[in-house]
Amino acid sequence: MAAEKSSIITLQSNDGVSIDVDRQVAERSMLIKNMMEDLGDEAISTAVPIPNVNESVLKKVIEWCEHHKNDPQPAQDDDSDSRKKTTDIEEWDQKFMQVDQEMLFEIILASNYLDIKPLLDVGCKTVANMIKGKSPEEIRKTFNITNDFTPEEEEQIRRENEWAEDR
Amino acid sequence: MPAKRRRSSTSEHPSIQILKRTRTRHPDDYIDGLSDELLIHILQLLPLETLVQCQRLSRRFYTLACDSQIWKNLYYTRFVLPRALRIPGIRNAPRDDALNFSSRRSLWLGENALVNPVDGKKTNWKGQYKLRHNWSIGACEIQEIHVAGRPTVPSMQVKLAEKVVVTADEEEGLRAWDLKDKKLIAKYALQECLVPTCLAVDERHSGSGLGIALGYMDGGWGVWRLDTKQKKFVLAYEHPKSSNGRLGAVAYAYPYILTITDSQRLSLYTFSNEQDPALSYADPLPTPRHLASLRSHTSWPPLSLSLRPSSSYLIASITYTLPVYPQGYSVGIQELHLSPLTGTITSSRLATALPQGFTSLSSPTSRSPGGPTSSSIEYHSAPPTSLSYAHPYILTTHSDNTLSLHLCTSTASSLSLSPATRLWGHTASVVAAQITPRGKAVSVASGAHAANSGTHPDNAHEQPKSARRESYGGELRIWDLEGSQTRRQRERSVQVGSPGSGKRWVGFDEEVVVVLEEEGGLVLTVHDFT
Repeated sequence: MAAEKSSIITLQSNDGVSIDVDRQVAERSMLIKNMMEDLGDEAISTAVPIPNVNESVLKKVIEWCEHHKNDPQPAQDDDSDSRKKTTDIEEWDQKFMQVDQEMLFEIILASNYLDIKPLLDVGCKTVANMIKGKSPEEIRKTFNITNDFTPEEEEQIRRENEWAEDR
Repeated sequence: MPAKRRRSSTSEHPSIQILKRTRTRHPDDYIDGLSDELLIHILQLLPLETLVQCQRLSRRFYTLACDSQIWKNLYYTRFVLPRALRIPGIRNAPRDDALNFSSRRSLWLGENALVNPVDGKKTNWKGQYKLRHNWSIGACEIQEIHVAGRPTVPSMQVKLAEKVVVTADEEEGLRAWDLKDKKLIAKYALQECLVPTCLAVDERHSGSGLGIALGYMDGGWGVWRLDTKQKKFVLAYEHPKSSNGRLGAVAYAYPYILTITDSQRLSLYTFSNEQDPALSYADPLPTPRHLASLRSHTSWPPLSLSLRPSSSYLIASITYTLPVYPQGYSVGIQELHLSPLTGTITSSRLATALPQGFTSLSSPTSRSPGGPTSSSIEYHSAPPTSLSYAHPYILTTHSDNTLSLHLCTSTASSLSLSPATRLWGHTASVVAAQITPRGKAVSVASGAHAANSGTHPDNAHEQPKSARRESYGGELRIWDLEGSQTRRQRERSVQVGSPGSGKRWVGFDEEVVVVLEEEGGLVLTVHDFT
């Protein structure tokens, strides 16, 4: 095992770019880790295609894995909703997530596809923090969400939820 | 492979139509590229206020922000977890995260009925959250049902069970009111000479309707079945009048009937016969067997009778007011253990809230100030205005604006009552209260006394008018008393604005509080928290 840790895996983004990564770093992704365990060492010699992720996003994800390569692995049976309900993010991750929205959501999608739970969490918390405390109009503006309600429908929903507002 | 999280159905919110996503999407709307699962992951990180704001964003967000999984989680965090942390031993459990919400394993503390509904229906978690939220802040919709033109003597008897209010009085007889439509659903006229003095509803008896027992002024009693489907009362049995006098209270748990007269004669009957003790219910019922009679010389009204089935025997209990000379009044309880097969009394035991070795004349020593027990031995100079018993709680109401809570401990070997915990908060004489086995209680105070009590001398010269009655008038308070006896005081009460002065009775269930009020005529005020 110790010798394998230092081996290099080649990942190939969907736009055909090959990136060499430490196996330990790449195995932050449960998808890659499981694949390696299933295929054995011969898989290492060939490039692993990552069909859903382009080069710039893949590089960003690897950057995160690189920084977090020594973090303890999350427990296998960790239920997504059993985690503490907090949106606190550590400082390095906060800086890491200072990207445009296109990249932010690409990272979320990539970490979901590659099954990197801690990165997915950081991404979701970042989005949650962008929503928190904003009015519906402000949230729509932030994320360019199209309001497909008629004013009457929106008013109906507002009234439906009035109970939750007066604390 | 990425873990697939199961998501509950989102189709349970029909009020807003969910269109297919054929609408034009903003080119920079990147958040729309996320799957429902991922958006729910984000939404469940949001606090309640923001979550409901998100429902207004778009049709897609509306559906997702209503997702049951999110609301189940919120419900757990706000209403179940704090209770769990209160129970000694659980907080220090080896796995701390066992308390955190998980869709697979969580500690639901007696709310399993919500998690695994018996009828197979999906729990509407958002609805449940809203209900609990409204209870906690006292937000409700108030509607009135007019039940009688003028107050009756003796007072109208009222009970609430299974979303039905049953009333009984001399003039109109036995009536049932539906709480959803606020309408009369069934009526049974009593014979001319019968004056109802007590009423009991058998709540376990709900399969074919509700079991109802009514006691009369002349010592007789009757049993009905309220068929909620066919909307009628079916007379099951009528017991002739007796020379023992007016019945003060009755309890009904089929096949047992427990009655007590004003002269404190307790009688227990059963409808089952010895050959076939497990006989199922049928109309009409056979003539009951008289199992036991007891006479007490210490139990004063107000009192409460109850029948509680336990694993090996039936517990018939009478909770009563106990006069303690010369200090005042306390409470006591007597339990009779009955064999469910033969109906014979296997044991009988008594407990009172008085301290051990108490002698009523040695008051100077038991009243030494500052001692930890002296403050808990508190007597009321007047008898309680009402008494409600739901094991293990006994709640009494007093004319001095307070309530007293006793905890009853009943084990195979012993029966004991804790000293009273006083509950403050009302600003008027408390006239009625009800408590549930879970420690939730509702109490009402009458406004008439507050107006005369002089506690607000600034306004004393003003003429009583409706606004005044609203501010100092009848009060309704909701208490959450669980654990208040064993740990430091945790009762929390919410006042619900409720005008009207002559309150007579209060009852509640998961969703509503019903108050019988006297305002010219008799009115049932329904406080709906949904």
